[in-house]
Amino acid sequence: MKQLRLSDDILLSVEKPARYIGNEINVISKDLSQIDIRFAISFPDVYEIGMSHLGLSILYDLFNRRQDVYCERVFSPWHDLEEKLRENEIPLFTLETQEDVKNFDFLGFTLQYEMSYTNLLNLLDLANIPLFSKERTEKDPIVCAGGPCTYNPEPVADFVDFFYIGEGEVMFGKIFDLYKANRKNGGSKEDFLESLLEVEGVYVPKYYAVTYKENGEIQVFSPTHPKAKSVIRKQVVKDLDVVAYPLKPLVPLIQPIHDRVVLELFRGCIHACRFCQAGMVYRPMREKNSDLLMEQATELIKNTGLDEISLVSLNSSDYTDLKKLTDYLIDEIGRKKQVNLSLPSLRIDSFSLDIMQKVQDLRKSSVTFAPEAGTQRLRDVINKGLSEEAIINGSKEAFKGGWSRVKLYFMMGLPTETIEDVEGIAQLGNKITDTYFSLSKESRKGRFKIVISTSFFVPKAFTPFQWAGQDTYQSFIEKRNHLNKMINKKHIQYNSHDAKLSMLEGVMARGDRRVGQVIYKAWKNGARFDAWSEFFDFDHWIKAFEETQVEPSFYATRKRDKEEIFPWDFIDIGVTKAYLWREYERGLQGKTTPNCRKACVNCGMKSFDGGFCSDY
Amino acid sequence: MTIRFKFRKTGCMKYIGHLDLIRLFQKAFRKVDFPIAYSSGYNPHPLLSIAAPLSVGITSSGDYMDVKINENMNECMIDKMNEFLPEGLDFLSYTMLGESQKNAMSIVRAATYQVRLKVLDKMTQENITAYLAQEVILTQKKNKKKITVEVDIKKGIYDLALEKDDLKMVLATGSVLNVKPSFVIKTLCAFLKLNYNPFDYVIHREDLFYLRDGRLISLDT
Ligand code: SF4
Repeated sequence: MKQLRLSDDILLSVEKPARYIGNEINVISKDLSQIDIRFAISFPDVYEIGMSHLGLSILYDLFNRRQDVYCERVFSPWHDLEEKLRENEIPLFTLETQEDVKNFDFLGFTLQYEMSYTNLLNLLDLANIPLFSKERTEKDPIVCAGGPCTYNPEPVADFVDFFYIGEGEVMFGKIFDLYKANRKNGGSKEDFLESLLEVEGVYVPKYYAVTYKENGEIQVFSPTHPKAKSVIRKQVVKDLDVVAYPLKPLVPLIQPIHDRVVLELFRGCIHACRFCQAGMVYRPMREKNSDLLMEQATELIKNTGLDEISLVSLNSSDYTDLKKLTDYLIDEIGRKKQVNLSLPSLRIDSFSLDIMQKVQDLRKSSVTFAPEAGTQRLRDVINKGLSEEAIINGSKEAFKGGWSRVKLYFMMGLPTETIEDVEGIAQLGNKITDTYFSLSKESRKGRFKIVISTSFFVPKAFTPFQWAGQDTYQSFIEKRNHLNKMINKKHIQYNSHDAKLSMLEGVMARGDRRVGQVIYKAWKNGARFDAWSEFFDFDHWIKAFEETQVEPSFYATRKRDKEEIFPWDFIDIGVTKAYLWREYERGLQGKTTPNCRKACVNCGMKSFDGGFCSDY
Repeated sequence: MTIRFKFRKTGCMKYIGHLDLIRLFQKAFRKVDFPIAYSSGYNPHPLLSIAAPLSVGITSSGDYMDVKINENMNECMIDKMNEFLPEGLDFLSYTMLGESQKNAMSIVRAATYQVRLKVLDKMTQENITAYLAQEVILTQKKNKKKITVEVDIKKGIYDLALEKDDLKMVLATGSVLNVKPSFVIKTLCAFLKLNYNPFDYVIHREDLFYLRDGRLISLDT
C-alpha cells in the first residue's frame, strides 16, 4: 500500500480527505524506473469539479497511453487544507505517487474559466514553484496550459512557459519526443522551449514582444526569435473516430459533481450564435460514428460500474444519429442494466420530449430553454435561432406530456439591448405561464413553476462581439432591478449572476499581458476560488487594479474599432477576423445567418479540411 | 435469498465514509452484473445493508454487508469485484443466509478493536484495571435529538487489556448499546489525567459479534 503524503492529524481534520489520497478505481500506477517524463496535470479548482471534466480525463488517458510518460493529477486544495499545507510547510503533491509537483518534468493546466486564474497562481505557489516564468530555473517543471481560456493566452502569458492551442490529441506526442531528445542531448530548458517553436499549435510567450500605442491599444505584437511563428494555428482532430477515448476513466471514491459516464457525440457546433466562443473556437463540427459510440457506452459502463450515461456536445439535438443512439442506450443498456440516461443540451421539441419522457422522473425534472434574449429582435442580433413560437409550442408539448417546471436562461447587456428587450424576458415568462393555464385542468400536472436565470454578457475573444463594449456595472444593476420588479413572482423565481464577477470576466476575457499583473496582485491580496461565491471578494481585485494602475473599463466596456490589433490576433482558429467582423455588422443590423447545415458562409474553417466543412 | 459478505477496509480506504462506501459497492456489483435485487418504485435502489458502519478514520478487518439477490451468484464474481475495487477494500468471504436469519445490521452486539498507542505514558495494566474499577464511567454523548447527555459506558466495556503497544477492546456495538472506542480512550485519558489527542490512537476494528446463548459469536460463523 502506498504511503500517503499527509498524516492522519491533517487528513482527519479537513473536509473530504479523499480529495487528497488518489487510489480511485482505474487509477494508473506505473513503474517509475521505466518512465522518462513525469507530467502533473491540473484542473485548478477543487477535486470534485476537476474530476468531472471530460477534457482532463481525455488527456490523462492520452498521456498515460505512452509507456515513457506517467501523468498524475493535482487539484487546488480546499482552503482548509491550504492552511495546513502552509502551516506545516508541505509542498503540493500529486495524487498518484504523492510526490512533490515541483519535481515533475511538466506541470500542465487546463483553463476552463477565467476566474480560475488566481487558483493557477496559488497552485504554483503551494508547489513552491516561482510564479513568473522568467523566475523559474532548470529545477522547476515546465509549466504549460491549454483549454478554452487559452485562445486568449495573454493575461496569463507571464506565468506559463508554453501554451498549447487546440485539441491535445494532435501534437503532444511530438512535444514529448522533443523533450526526450533535448534531455538526451544535454539541452537546457531554454533549448527545449526553442525547439517547441517548430511545433504547430504551440505558443511560447517569451519569444514574443508587445508594444503599445499611447491610447493603450496594441501597436505591434511580434516574434523576437527568428524561429517563432508569427501565427499560431490551432490544432484540431480531423477524425474523432480514430483518436483515443478514455474507456477506463477514473471513478472517484467520493461523489464528484457528475458521477456518470460521459459519451462525447461530437466536437464543434454548426450554429453561429454571435456571443458564443465555444461555437467559434471548436469549429468545425465533427461527429463520432454512432456504432462506435454504442460500443464505447457498453464498454464504459462495464469498466466503471456507473449507473448513468450522459451525452455531451454543444447541442446534442444536432447529432445526426441521435435517435438510433438514444434508442440503443435506453433499450439495450438502460433497461437491462438499470442505467439512466441524462440528456443535457437538447432542443425541446416533440422528439426530445419523447426521449426525455422515457428517461426522466417528470415530477422532478424540468424542461430547459436558453433563448438568451427576451425579444425576437435581440435574438436575431445574437443569431440565436430559437423563436418564441418554438418556446411556447415546446412548453405546451411539455406541459401536456406531464412536465410542470420550466427553466429559462438569458443574458443581459447584449449589444443593442434596450429596456424593451429586458422587459421581454419577463413577458416571455408570462406567456409561458398563460400557456400552462390555458390548458384544461385535467391535463395540467404537478406544481407549475418557472425559474428565470440571467447572466451578464461578457464579450469574448474570437466571437463576432469581440469588438463590442460590455455593459457597465451600473447598467447591469439597473437592468437587473428593473427586471426583478417586472417579474410575476407568483409563479416565477428569478436568479441573477453577480455583476462584479461578470465585469472581471470581461477584463480577463479580452485582456492583454498587462492584465497578468492584476491577477498577480489580486492573488497576493488573497484572491482564490473566485468562481465560488463564498470566497469571491471583489475588494482584492479593486485593490489590484489600483496597485497596477490598470483601468478595467479599457478592457471591459470599451468598444473597439475595426482596425484594432487584438491581443489574440496572432492565433489562427480557422474562422477569420473578416468573417467575425461581417457577422458583427450583420448582428448590429439584426440580420441572421444560417447554420452550417443550411448553408456554408465561408467562415474560413475550410482551410482546416476536416469535419463538416468538407461536405461543401 | 440473502448473502452475507465479509469485507475489510484498510489503508487509505479509512478516509471513505459510509455513503461513499455503499456507492463503491454498488459500482462493483454493476461491474460484474451481480444478481442483486432492487427495491421497487421509480428510483429502484439495490438492496444491501452494512452492519455497524465505521466512522471515517478507522480501518477494519471484519466488516459485514448483507445483500439480497435474485438468483445464485457465480463465485468468480467476487474475484472480479476485488480486482475492480480500490486498493484497501476487499471481499474476504461470504455465507448464504437461511430464510429465518436476521440481517447483520440488527444482530450486531459487540466489536473487537485494536488501538495502537503512539504515546505510552501511564498506560499500564494496573492503571487500566483501576479505570475499569470505577463505579461509573461517564462520557458526554449527543442523543438522537442532538442534545448532549451524560451516559455511563461502563456496562458496554466488555473487555479492555494492554497487549504490547496496543489496547485491545471488546465493546458493545449496535442498536441496543453502542460504545465507540473513542469514548473509552477519552475517558481513560481523563482518568489518567492525560491530554487527549485523538491522533495518538490509531484504531482498527477486528471483528463484529452477535449474541448466542449468552456468548459472543463472530458474524463470520
Ligand atoms: S467553413 Fe462553412 S461549414 Fe465550415 S464551419 Fe465555416 S461556415 Fe460552417
